[in-house]
Amino acid sequence: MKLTDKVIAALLVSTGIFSLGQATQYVQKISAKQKKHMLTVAGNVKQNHVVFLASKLPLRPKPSVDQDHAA
Amino acid sequence: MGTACNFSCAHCCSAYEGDRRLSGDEIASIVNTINTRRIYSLYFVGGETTLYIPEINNILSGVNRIDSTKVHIITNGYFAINSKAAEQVLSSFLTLTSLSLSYDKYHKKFLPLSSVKMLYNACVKKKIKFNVSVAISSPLDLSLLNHLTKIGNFPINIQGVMSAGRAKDNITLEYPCLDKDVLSRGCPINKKLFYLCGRGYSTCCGSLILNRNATEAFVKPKCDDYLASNFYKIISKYSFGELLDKYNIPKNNLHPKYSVNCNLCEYIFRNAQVIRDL
Repeated sequence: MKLTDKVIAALLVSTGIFSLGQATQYVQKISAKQKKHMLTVAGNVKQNHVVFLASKLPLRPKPSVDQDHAA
Repeated sequence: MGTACNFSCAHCCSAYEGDRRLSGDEIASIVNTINTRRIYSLYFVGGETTLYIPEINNILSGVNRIDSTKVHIITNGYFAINSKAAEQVLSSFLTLTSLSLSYDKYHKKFLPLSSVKMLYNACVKKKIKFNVSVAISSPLDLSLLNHLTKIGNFPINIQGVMSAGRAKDNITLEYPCLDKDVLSRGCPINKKLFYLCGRGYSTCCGSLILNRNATEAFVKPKCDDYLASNFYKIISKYSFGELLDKYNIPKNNLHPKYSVNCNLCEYIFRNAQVIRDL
């Protein structure tokens, strides 16, 4: 599995919609264009420290989130 | 709170049309339940929740410990046409702790992105916690996040479109394979009470009771009757895997869509033998 595929799988698991197994299978099925699309989203999510409420990953400290508005 | 909504999203989990509202007796029953069961966190949902502010305030005014009660709403945000209008609606609640905005490719047809920003800013100003709930039918729908992250830094709740109401059999998130972990899970919200307008109490807020053919076994007009029901006893005791075993429902070859708690729960409780047992 390529690093870029892992990044997309991690995004899908962090949103909470797929388990790791499902995310891995999904990434293997999509086109290069769709992967590029998903990588853009992943980059944006990382850059903005987006917190996903239904995440299947443990929460990490958020360096720049306004605590008054983080659930 | 009721079924009325000023949007008509294709993926809406509500199967009901028109305006069904809580009666005075229902409001009194809800207030009594909140007070006697010492419930400290209230979620108001619709239809469109803000069409029911007088009824919500009626409930809140009857709550004994309102200062220590957290009040949350889910809204489509239609009222956020400008800052003043957004703040005015938020101020009309007796108290409001947090707001969840439903915004996705379906809601986007009815709500401009500028309204999301108006509402977020109004919440920041009023010190109301804000998050956005995004329903998706494909992981590619996550591209909406590129726009949301430009507005501000707030939590986002991603959900697959629920197989209920208008979305039932029409729109769904495809799962590549079954997540077998679902078998060890039980209903995640079975310790929370839900009141469905015109129907009664349940701990289910999913497809099992939202679809038109829901039976009365899953929802009761009186809270005590619901908590004494066979359905509640079963759903609060067993995991989904244990339920499949209990009713001799084969676990092999389960469709990937049953990776979702609500889909699997509905599959189990639509089984004729299980229904007879209730």
